[in-house]
Amino acid sequence: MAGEFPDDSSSTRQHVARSALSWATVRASWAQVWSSMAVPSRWRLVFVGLLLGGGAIGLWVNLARLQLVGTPETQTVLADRDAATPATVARRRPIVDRNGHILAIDRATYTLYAHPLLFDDKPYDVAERLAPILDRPVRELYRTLQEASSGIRLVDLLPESDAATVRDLGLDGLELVEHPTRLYPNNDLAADVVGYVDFDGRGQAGVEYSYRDRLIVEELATEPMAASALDRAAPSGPTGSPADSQAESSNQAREQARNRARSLSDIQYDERTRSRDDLRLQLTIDLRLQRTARRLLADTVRQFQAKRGILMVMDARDGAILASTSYPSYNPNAYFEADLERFKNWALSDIYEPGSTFKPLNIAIALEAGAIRPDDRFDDPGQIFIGEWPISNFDYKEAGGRGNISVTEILRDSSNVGMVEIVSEMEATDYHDWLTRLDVDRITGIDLPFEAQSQLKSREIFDLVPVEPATVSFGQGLAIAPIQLLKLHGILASGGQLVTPHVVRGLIDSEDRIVWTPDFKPPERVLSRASTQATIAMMEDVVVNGTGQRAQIANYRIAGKTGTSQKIDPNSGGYSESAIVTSFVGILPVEDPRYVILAAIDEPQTGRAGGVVAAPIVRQAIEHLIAIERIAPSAPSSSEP
Amino acid sequence: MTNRLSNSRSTGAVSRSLFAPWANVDLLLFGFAIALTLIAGITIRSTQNAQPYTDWWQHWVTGGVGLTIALAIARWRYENLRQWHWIVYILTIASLLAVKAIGTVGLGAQRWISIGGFNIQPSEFAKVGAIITLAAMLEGRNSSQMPEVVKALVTIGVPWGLIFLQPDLGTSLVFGAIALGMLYWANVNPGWLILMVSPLVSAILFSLVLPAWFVWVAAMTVVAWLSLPKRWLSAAVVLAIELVSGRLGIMLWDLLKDYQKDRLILFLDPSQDPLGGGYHLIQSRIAIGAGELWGRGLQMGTQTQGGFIPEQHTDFIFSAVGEEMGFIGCAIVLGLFWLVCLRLTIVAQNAKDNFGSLIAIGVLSMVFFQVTVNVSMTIGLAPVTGIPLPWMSYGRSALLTNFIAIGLVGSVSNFRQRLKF
Repeated sequence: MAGEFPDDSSSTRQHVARSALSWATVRASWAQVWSSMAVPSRWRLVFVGLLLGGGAIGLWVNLARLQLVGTPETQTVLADRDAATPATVARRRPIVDRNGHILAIDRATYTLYAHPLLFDDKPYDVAERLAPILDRPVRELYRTLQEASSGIRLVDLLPESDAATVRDLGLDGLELVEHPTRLYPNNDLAADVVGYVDFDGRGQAGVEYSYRDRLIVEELATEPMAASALDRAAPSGPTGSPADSQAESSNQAREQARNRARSLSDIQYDERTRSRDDLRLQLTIDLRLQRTARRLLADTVRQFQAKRGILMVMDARDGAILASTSYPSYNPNAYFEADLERFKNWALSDIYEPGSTFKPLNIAIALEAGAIRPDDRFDDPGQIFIGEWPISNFDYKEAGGRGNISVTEILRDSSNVGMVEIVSEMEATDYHDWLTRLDVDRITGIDLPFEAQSQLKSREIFDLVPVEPATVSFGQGLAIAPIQLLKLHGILASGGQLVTPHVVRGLIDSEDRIVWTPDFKPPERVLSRASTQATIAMMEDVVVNGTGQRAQIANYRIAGKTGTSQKIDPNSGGYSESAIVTSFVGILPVEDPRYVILAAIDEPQTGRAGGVVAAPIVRQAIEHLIAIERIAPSAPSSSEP
Repeated sequence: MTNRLSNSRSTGAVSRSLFAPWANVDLLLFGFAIALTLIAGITIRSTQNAQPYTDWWQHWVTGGVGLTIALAIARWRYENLRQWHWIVYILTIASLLAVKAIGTVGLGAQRWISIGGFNIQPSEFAKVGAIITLAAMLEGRNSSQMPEVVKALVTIGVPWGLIFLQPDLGTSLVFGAIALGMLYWANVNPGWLILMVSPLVSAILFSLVLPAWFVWVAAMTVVAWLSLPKRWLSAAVVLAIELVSGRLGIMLWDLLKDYQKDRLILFLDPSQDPLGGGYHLIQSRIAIGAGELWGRGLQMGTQTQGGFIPEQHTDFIFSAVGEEMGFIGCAIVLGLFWLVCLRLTIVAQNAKDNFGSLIAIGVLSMVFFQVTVNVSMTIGLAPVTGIPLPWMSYGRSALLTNFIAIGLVGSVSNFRQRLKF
């Protein structure tokens, strides 16, 4: 027992000792490793050698990769730099209205650089002589001149006259670098159409953007230079010949003919045309009408405390936009100060439910499809149910049912129930086919950028859900941009032709001869003149006896339709009670329809009905249009048929 | 025969007597440094067509003055510095304090003292001061022990701090490199050296690769346990430091201004800010890449002649070498630096005492670090920090400092034989 005990304890001790020993060994061996590295032995030197060798190899390899293999980044930048052309802003062609009034033009401005190391005179003397021209204090200028020995940017956007004065000083070490800037003499008048150009000369909105390829005067390649010289020597070139000029002017007279020749557009814009610096881009806009439209619109938006408004006038024969204005807008001369929201032209970029202004299209479709005849009569109980959905007239609560009414009265009184009944005469799928035939579901193809896509339910949905065609019958359940509505009414005004709305006429030379015209889709007949004319006759009744009476003008026959559409409330997802778009679309003259005018006021605070808010400005716009276009008055008898 | 022999012996004696004071100087080391200075002068001349800030020949004049000083130092026994090293230290501190007090502010930092029309940058000379101070403190037998190491670090921490506050990040980094290199050569436990830089690594890894950070923290704890006295306590302290520095790194990072952050990380992708912080890096890379094998020729580089690279005659001199002399020129310049480093190592290895050996290693650390970081910066491998290329970058203080350093090493090689009594 006594002998066992110490045995036990010794074994335990031994165990402890063994484990301690093993730890000690580990520590010792590690310590050896560390110290072996630390001892002033070969190791110390070897490590230094490795570091030197590694550093050298690392740098050499990277240098070789950079210099012998090369990087794409290096190649491109150097290629640019070797070309050694200073970055200049390309010259842009002026933009003029249809009468040749200037809307946008390049103005030569200069950036003045100082390179004090090249000065012959003392910097202070230079500062003293520059100060009055630049309108800056001498001392401040002198301080600027001391900032660097070269490449001091003294002033941007120096006008030509001041630049000339600087040049006349004849001082060495001053450098004037030309930098054309875009000037818009009419400020915000046509900003929605013309757009603006940024400091680097890139078009950012409007025509400046959509026609950027046609606005820039391209540098002439070496080869065509000879041709141009030849042309200058003998002015009987292809476009310079009198015969050609005659052909051009006859083209001007026959616009339809020119439209058919539009496929030649790209051929017209040949190598020589590209580099011509005497061309101007002519718009279809009439500045006089534009100015009136803008004033009217601004007054109306302010009067009804509306969020914004648009007013557009289109010549339905070819889709030329004569005036297009939105308010509020921005000043392209100071685009950098403007609210970003204003750069978009909401006539193109925002879609909304057109409401009652869409009704005439449906009537025209129903007439064309043979579903109804102009003298058909319908029973209007004021409210009907499509499945479980009630559809009622806007005045159902006060007026109740209207009883047996004609198609004309349906349009005049803006009866939703009547419209549902008219559209019900067609198969839902046929109705949808008609809508797509009128390109309701497509963009209009206008030559302005950033057009929004319309929203129309699919053919299958129309077939399966009867309430869908029913709501579209009175202009809800689909969403289109205002420009689309203008284009659709253009079909009525043009006697059934689908035309592409556009704002550019083409490039004209110094003698107003058209040199190039843009390529639009040729007009396409989608409805018969009989259907459209019958519809317009009904729309005239809206102006004469119905909701559009405020658009009346003595001795002129005007057709129109009011509309008040509720906007979708972004919060609830349903229709908003307060937010509405009220609009009026007018067509004239009824006896030979040609012009379409659309006014839309977004979220007016004090008026609701399109007939009250929008019809008066359409009337005033038409009055001015009559004067400009010299529209002859209609026979007095025609206003009372 | 005898006559001729005696004749030749006599001429030999004359030449020996003339050059006797420098008989054992490492002439190759001096030769390489002179070659670099000459190449630099030519390159600076080429950059000046675009940026005539200064006269290129001044670089050679300063180089000549520097060489004279170096030769004077080389014939003077470096051991004498042992008695003077505290004086050197005090002078270093005083000059750095003088910068704080009467220095000229330029480029957002206070680095220069203006004396008699010359701008002197004391932080450059402080590098040599630091080398001498550290060499004197670390040469002792116990220098690899903890108390001595701590003493050395505290001593060198004062000038380092003053430079860091100027602020001159580049030079303070050079100080760190010098200290690390000399501590290593003084047989300080490598584990300690790793631990010294470990919080920085920890901070970087924590933000970049978290798993690697865990591995690093664990590894450092083990290193502490193995290499430090009071192993359990030290291991715990180191663990705590590593853990904290990960988080602290992010906090310090957030304290930096955006442009400072950009400057540190833009080299990874300079195109993020091609006209701002990335400008130097991009332009310099383009210039060097344009050089290709043989270079575009002196005065022919578009980048250099177009003045696209600011500070090209100083910190970015290597980009001019790269563009105008090509890969061949760069390889020669780097080769010369490599040979300088080689000679410095040889001198360090052959020195008769630790003091001389450490001086040579200190200079080696300085040169190696500056060359590596500067060249890496010009070819886009490192952030832009104000570290000049030794003997090449224009700057009187830097050039003189480099020659003084070479002079000290020359003295170490010159007096490598023990005095025999």
